[in-house]
Amino acid sequence: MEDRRMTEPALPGRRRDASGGWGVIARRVTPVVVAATAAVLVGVLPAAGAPQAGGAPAAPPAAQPGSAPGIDPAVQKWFKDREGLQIDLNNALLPAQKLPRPLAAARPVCSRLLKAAGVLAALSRVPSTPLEAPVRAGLDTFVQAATTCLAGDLPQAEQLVAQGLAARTAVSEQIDEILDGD
Amino acid sequence: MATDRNSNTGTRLGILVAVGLLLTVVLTATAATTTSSTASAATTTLTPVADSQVQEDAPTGNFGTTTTLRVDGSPVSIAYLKFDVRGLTVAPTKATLKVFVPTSTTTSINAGKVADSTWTETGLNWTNRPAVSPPSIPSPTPIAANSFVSYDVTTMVTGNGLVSFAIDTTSATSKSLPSRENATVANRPQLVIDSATTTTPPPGDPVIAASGDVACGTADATYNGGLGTADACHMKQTSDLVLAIAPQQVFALGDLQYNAGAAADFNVSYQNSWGRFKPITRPVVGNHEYGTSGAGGYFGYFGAAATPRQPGCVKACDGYYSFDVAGWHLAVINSECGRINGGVGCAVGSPQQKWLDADLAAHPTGCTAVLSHRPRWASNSFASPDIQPLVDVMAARGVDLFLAGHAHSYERFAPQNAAGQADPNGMTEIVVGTGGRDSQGFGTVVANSLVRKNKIFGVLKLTLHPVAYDYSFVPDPATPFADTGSGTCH
Repeated sequence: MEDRRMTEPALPGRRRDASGGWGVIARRVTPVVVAATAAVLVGVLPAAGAPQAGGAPAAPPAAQPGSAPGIDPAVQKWFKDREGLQIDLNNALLPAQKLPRPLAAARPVCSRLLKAAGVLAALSRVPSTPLEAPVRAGLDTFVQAATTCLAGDLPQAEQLVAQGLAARTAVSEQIDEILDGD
Repeated sequence: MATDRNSNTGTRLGILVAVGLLLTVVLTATAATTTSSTASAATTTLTPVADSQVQEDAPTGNFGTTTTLRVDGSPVSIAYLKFDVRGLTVAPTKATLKVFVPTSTTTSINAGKVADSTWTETGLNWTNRPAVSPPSIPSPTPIAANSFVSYDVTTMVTGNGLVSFAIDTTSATSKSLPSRENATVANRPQLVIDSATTTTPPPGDPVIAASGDVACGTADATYNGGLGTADACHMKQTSDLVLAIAPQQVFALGDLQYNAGAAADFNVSYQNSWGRFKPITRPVVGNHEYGTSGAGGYFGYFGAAATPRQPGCVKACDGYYSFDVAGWHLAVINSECGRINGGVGCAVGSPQQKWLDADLAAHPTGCTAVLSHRPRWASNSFASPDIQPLVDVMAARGVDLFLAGHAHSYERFAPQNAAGQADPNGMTEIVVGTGGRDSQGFGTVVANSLVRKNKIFGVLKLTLHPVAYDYSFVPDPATPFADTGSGTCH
């Protein structure tokens, strides 16, 4: 068999949780953060038009058996439906890497990030089990970064943004390989 | 606006195209032998596709993965080298076998031809070794330490295909010659072929060959000495197509070396196929290149060609740049957005996005193209929304042509705006991920997709006119397919 593993070293300081996701940060999220996030999402989701959002992720639509996820129409639709949200998140993350000071100037940046990451985190499950954890990598961390920022700790928020981005990058190869059917 | 003159996917037309291609090659060869004005000398340096040694005192031992090749007169040890010669349309004007000798000797080291090239690197041993055809060519003596010994093997290399050599000596003091696995790339065995196969580009507008997703790794189960199998690893075959096109430049659209863009693989698999066009290649970095930290294998291999904005950078470089070809302005983007600028390398306000906007604004030429690894649109899940901010810039600046790979298939779109809506003044995206690696299929056909084909290998031939362009998919004859047309710049 061809060995299609890549040799990029694992990023330090993170470890996978039992489900294969990057859960270290997520487990630190406080009830206050959860409540704040939920409050934001209640107001955001309808406007964002997120399919099957809210509460626990909905069951995925049926995928075509036997085909590589990258050519599965159900998977393709799932990615297509979230394209705009992903673009919004990227554009929200860029200014959050180095937050403006003082806090009043940072608030709009962090509110935008909370909205963008929160909507994506609440999206329906991808109709490919192996993709579920990697496509959510970093999202909880971005939510925590935004709430940390809004609570006034800008340095910690920047650190969390960097950690979330690193977690997302670390699984990009995995997503590509799963889509390839490897 | 692109005009599709022919998008037949049927076998009959494909065969006609293949026949036409063969006819072209034949005519090229004829021209090369009858008039020197249409051909120029070309030098190709090949590294072995297999090498090993056999030892009399280890009759069933195999040494195919060692970094040196031992030659010895007692007990006898013989080195075997196998090269894959491709792309010749006439016999080479000269072929030179070169082996590096690290230690001095006063005894000749001899090279002979091995008629049977069916031996394998990991299967060869003393017992099953193929015979060496006399006479062998002795080296001059003495041989200085750390020098290359060259053998004129012109008569032994008569055309395309596998060719094997044996290296031996009568000296009872063994010599260890660097093998193809040796860490010092420059000291590996070489077969240098001088030929008259490169036809002079026809006068007029420049011709380009483009494709992505090219070379399998040497450890790939389907590598097969660089020749691949029916459905994978056709990098040699597609590089032969490029050779026949004789382009002015080659656009290499990323994922050029699988599986992880390792320097060792670049120096063998890519080098022996598309590496033949390295001096005229405009490289694009792909996701598999980042399988090596910071895409160090890619940036190290292509050097300044991949980093004209960052001279000397060999790892974790930006990977985006631009250049001009005959009045066209072309920008290469790094679509691995998560790999640059801390993970948001394509977002609005990112250095790459601002650079692309400024670069395109500074080049308001008649025709503009962008080269990327990931496409923005594809009829599967291989389209990238991350590059949307760059596509927004491209649309705003009037880019005409957008070439990409990543999806291992061919797909051509009608001109579109940044939102993916049909727009006669928009950009035409062509996905050419057919450079050799393998094939991927399609899911739901997306809007404005005009032509799609998978399970094919080949390259896109472009002719860049002052205010227009012609495109033609040139297929591997084993996978016939045609898509030919033209577009105008706006």
